[in-house]
Amino acid sequence: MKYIIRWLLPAITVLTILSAALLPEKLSQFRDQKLFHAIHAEEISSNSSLPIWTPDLIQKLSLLYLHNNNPDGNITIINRSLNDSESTPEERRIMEELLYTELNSLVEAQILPKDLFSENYHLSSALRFYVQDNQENKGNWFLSVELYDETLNYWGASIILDEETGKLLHLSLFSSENLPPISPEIMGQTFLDRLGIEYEPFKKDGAYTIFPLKETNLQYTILLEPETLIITIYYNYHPNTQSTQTDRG
Amino acid sequence: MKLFWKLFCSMVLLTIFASSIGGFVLIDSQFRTSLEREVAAVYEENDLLRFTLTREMHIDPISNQEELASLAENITINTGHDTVTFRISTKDGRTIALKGIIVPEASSLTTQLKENQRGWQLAQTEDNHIYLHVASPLIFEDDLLYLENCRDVSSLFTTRSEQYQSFFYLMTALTLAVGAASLFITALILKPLRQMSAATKKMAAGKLNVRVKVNSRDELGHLAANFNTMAARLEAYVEDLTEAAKRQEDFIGSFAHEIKTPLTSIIGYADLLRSRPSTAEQVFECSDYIFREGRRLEALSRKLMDLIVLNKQDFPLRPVDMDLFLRRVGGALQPILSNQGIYLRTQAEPFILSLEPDLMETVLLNLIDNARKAMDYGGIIVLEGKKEKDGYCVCVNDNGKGIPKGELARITEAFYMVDKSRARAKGGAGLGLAICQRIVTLHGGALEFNSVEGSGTQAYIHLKN
Repeated sequence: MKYIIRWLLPAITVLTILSAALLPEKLSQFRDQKLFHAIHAEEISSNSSLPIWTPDLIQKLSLLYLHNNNPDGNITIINRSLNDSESTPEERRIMEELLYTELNSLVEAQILPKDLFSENYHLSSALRFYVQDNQENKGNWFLSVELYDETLNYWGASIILDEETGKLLHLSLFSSENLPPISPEIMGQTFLDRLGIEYEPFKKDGAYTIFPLKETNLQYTILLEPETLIITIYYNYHPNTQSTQTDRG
Repeated sequence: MKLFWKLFCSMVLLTIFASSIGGFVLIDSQFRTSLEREVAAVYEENDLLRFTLTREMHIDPISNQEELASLAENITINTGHDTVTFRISTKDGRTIALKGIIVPEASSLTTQLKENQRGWQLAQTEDNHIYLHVASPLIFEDDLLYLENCRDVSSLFTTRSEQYQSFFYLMTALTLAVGAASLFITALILKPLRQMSAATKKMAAGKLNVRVKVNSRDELGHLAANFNTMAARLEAYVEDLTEAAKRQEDFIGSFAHEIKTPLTSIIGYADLLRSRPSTAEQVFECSDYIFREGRRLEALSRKLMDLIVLNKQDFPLRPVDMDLFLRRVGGALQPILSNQGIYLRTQAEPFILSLEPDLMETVLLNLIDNARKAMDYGGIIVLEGKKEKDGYCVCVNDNGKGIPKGELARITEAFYMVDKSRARAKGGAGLGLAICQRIVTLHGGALEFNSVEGSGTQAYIHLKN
């Protein structure tokens, strides 16, 4: 009996050490049995449907910026091709109607010059894409269209529209002919007024005319050169930079 | 079992047990949380799929499963790290549309779900990949279809396994560290205990003045301090006991010494009565001396006991007529002195003094007896009593051989004898003057000696009034 009592403590210690080393993982694996050999079912709730809520225009622009500049970030992108073989005629009709209505409207607003998109431009590809900010749980559908310039033998324009409002939010254009001399400042102001966005006085950064948007870190950037027109949304990394112009033209 | 092993096992037991539970809870709960997050993410992807398909079907209504399949194949969903693979299948597992590769079979999940249920399962493949497989119902043209997607979650299990492996190495390092700590702590604790053990052994061997250093204020420091206190008390008790034993020895020696003189006196007077015819008056005188000495002897033994053994300092003092007292004392030794041819002259001024008569008689008998021993045959001893300014002085003056000047200061020490062989031959033990000194001190008096070698000695007892 004395012998047993004498060796009891060391024996318990050795057993504890062995158990401590091996038991935790075995215990975890034992608990895993419940995971592997079971179907974990639940009733479908309304909360499992999307979207959670609809973004406003500024939030849409923010999503568009994330799509264009940070596609590997915490966002989810759903692409739905609208090319000939991947969509129905009706879908394509709806998309073209939306596109040309907006382009005509921009011409009427004297934002874009007349006859900019001549017969040489053909619709080369179209895509409906959805961008969701996973952190904010906000998402929006956009239409992305590429026009092919036969004279350039190159894609001539890349356009992104907000699918809900049909408004143009991004334009990249390369023209084979000189673009009419429109002031980029006036073009930008008219463009933003048409969208209904409030903005700060513009500033110049080389060839770019920058319009910081009020109460956000976003800015619209316009580049207008004889053969190039770019209207795009960017992020303002230096919000306290002084403007070069103080009045709105 | 040695203290080190007890400490080591206890510390290891507690540390490892606590760490093990903590490690398991941490790692396993982290894994479960990660898995729940993956399930939530896969459900979100499934919701996105459903949302997209529903919207597309709303924009351009489709009427058959082939069109549905075509629509599904034209949808791509990209998340931050991957492209979502999905499948549309019937309840019995037949595939209608497939985008990407979904490893688990549809029927393993869809056949288990009710109409309004979505669910998930974990499926392990032969190559040890683990997939999180989700399915939710999709009603299309009154048909119940299932929208499935899945994600490879093998990394979760691999990470957990690696964490447990790291945990194992950590436990090993912890055990070694605890072992080292136990060793260090044991050494710290045992050092003062070993010192105390060594001190205890020395004390057992008789060295009672051993003490241990008190180096801390913790329990061990208190133990060391208490040990020192115990050692000091023990040393004091042993000293007291040794002193008490010595006093008892002194008493026995003193008593044996002191009864000699009265016995000699008693024997002397008894011999007188026995050996020659005596008148009634002589008989009465002798009997009286015998009776007195006998009673004195009886009282003396008790008082010597009190004085020496019990170290009693207060004896009741009685007023005594010094003239009568001195004459009586002198008379007690008369027979002995006569036998030795020594003449005792007693002269005392009348005075009443408070003293303890039996003890003071012992002093006087000792002094007179010492004077007698200083003479071989013949001589004079003067017993004198004189008033002093603040008391009374009794003097015993003899013309014996005297005491060397260098030894005068030591004659009242216990067991000290000037001439050992001579004193022993005459029955001395060296205790008499020591007892006289104590008795005179008890009376608040002083004992003084003058002596000229070859001429004689004067012993003065100065007593205060």
